[in-house]
Amino acid sequence: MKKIISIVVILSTIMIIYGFAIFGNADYNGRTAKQEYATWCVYAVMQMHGGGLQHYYASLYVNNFLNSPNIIDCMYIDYNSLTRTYCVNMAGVKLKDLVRFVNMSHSGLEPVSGVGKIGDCYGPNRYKDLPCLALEVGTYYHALYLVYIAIFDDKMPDESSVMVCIDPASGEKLSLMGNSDKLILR
Amino acid sequence: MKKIYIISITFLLFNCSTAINDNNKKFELGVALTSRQIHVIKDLKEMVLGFTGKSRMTAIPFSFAEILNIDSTNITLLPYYDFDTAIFYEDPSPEKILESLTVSDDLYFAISKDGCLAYSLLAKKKEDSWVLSRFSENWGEVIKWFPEKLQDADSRDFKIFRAGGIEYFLYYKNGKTIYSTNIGQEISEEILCETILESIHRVDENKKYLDSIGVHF
Repeated sequence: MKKIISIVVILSTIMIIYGFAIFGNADYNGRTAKQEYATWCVYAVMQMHGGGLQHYYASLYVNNFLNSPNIIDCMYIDYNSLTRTYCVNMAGVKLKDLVRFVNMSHSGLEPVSGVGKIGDCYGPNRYKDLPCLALEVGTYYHALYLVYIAIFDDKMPDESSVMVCIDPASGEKLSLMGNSDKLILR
Repeated sequence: MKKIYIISITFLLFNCSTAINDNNKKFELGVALTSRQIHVIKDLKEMVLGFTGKSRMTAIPFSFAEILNIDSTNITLLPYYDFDTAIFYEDPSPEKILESLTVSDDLYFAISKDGCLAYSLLAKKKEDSWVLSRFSENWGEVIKWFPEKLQDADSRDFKIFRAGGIEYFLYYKNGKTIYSTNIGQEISEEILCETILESIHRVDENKKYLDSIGVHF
């Protein structure tokens, strides 16, 4: 509790001095990773965060969350058509599995208990460790590696806040505005 | 003799600079801006000025502050399309991908500095003005493979669209439509069709889950 109060006090002070608060690491210069397949965005984010290999995370998901008939190793995608189907076509992590998967992944991501809108998870009196995994939601679901978020004028994250992240699809470093359609694990 | 040297050197220098300019020109993608689009850029600059004003800091920790120097860059408008999942899902097939592309209301700009592609901006209309929605600071580096591909293509026509969270480039070669991710991985129409279908199914499933836990968008 003391820790949370200190963080809130520090952030509020920063906001008063600078006009905005930054959650996360504005100087992030860590590893980047590109997803190996269209459905592997979550695994690439895990690789960025804690190292490891994408096919390891993919195998972990496939063997624990999908009812595959045999143990499948996603390192050998072309072993047979079944492996390709499970490891590529079906391997996109479903939202309902995400919390449990993150908690068992050994990817270094903080343990989480649910998903929520970014606006509900950040603000002057809310705090979460960054960098972390975030999701773009809308006509598609896509995982991003959220490096830092800037919130202006003592507000909750809204159209004026800025989310800086690395897109595992391309390795692009993106600044995104208008964060009403973003999800985060909490 | 001296004169001949001077003339030769001048001639060589001229050719060299022309070659550099030609080399740079090939990195220009998209078309020149209309006066309406120039106004959009002005709106974006105003928006960034608003941010930097709020920051009260001399060193602004946002790479998009680059936009403040946009007047000294070369800006082009990219052919950006929306992927209409409803059209695609009526009768999903590889051929339907092209039919599902509609010209986007959003404006996608490529910015070149010193003749090289640098970054990209996506602007969205919000009420009466335009706002910055997405700034990709290393976009030029990511898509540097593309201008060369376009030179070998049947025409300079290309389209950019986003499906399943991934940005795709479409161009034409040997009479065929070529699809590629923005990092230059070519993808067949059939695989792209499967990938998009899978993404649509996942959206439905995820939406049901979000509804069940009371998170609504």
